[in-house]
Amino acid sequence: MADVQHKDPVEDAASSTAPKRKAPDSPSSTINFTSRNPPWTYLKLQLVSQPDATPSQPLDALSARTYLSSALSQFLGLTGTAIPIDILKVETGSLSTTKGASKHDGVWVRVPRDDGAAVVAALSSWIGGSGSGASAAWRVCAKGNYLGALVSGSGSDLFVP
Amino acid sequence: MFDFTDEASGHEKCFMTIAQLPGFIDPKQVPSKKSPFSAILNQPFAHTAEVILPENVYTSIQASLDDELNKPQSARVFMCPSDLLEHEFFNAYIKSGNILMISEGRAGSDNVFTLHDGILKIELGREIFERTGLTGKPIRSGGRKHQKDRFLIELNLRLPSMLHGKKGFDRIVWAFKNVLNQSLAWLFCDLELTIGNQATKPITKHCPQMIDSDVLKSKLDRIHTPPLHGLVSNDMSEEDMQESCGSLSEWIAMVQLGSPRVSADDDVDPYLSRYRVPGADAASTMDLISLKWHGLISAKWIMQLFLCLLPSSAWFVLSTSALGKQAVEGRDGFTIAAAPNIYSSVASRANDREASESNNRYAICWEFVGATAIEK
Repeated sequence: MADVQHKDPVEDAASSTAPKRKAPDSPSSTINFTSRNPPWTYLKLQLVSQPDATPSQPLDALSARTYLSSALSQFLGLTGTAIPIDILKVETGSLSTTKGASKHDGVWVRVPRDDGAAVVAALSSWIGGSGSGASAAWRVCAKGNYLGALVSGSGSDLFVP
Repeated sequence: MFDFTDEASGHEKCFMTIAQLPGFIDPKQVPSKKSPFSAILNQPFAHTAEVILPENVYTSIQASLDDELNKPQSARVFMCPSDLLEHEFFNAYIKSGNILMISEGRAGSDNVFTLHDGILKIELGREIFERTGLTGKPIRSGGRKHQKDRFLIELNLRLPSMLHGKKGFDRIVWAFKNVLNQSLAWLFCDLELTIGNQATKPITKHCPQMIDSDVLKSKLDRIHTPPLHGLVSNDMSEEDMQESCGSLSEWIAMVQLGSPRVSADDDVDPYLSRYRVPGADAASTMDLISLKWHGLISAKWIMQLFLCLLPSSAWFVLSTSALGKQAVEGRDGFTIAAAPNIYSSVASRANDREASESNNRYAICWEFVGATAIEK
């Protein structure tokens, strides 16, 4: 470490005597661009079931896919089921809240960006499930065209004691 | 295909920057204008910072990371805006000290306060703004154009005129006493933390709850890792660069998410997911480590973290998420990937100079803007 520190002023002195040395480096040093139209839209969804429904199996990828297809076909018909959905992660677990433990079924998906609005509309209007008692709904928790912006949440949990 | 318009999606963007990292950085004089340093310094409030790096690299730098880096300290307090202006608090933290504070609430609908470098920013709706009697400027609300609904008041509390008894200051006191008098949840971070006299600090009057920001270490075994060497080069078109940077950013986020799709042992049916790791043919299987801090984290701390990681010769990823984002085109955070030879310059005439430069380290920085998060 000490070596580097000693070396640096020397280099500075060299560049001040020979300013041309730095010039060829600078044009290629930084590249900037702005991405506005990425291929995908990412959604964080939560499956909301009736609170009094009998505890069912934890959500798995296949049943999540079935629920999603059901929502899409209900709202958009056959063309809706043609929207490709990639299931990135299924999150299951029980959240222990003040009201007691509640089941938490979440799923992260990605869909083509152009279909994002249609998928959100279809999922938010869907009421489904098997039988009359066990109805379920999708809740859209987060939506964005860049997954990196969504993975850590919004941080509002910090304000809650 | 379907006739749905999505305005929010059109406002979303990502600024990508590829920059060469300097060989040596003086911690006292960090280049503040150059990417990726500018991205770190431009984000005053963060709630999460995450580092991903290969496990063998982590074991080699673990000791120095533990020694040089204190964990970020922050606290949750409940106080009224007028408490900020009380003599003791005001003099200790705003006039002479340096603190970071942010209140609860969502920009665009609630009253939101932020305090950073002695500048108090208050975002309000029209009605309350007019009742405060303070000067501010209209800001975009995401609603109708040309309709002024939301206002931002900026008060530099470090100005010499900002003293109790002065006219302009008493207006603020009046507004905080009569209009903005609700108690709020705040996050508090003292940037000039001196250990020892905690009990006598003015903040203790407000019963702060310390937020535990210990590092959360998780092992990510057998991750399908794309090759970073020569990810972009100067003979690529901009679209190609965007695409390869975009898919790397997606992969980083997938690792952060803990998705099974990036595991080397994943054999999901294409009916469920068609996600593929970019450059899958050349991808290698690696054990990675993720280090995560959660709390109110200052730009200063993130810069310290970044400088601690820089001397390691291999690649690493640093990702943060911003707190207190604006309602319209607010910044969500950034991800920096630093690696040797991630950018290769193919010169028309290769000479010795290029060869000697081939060990340069580059950083790709993604700054995310405008995602929609509704959840808690």
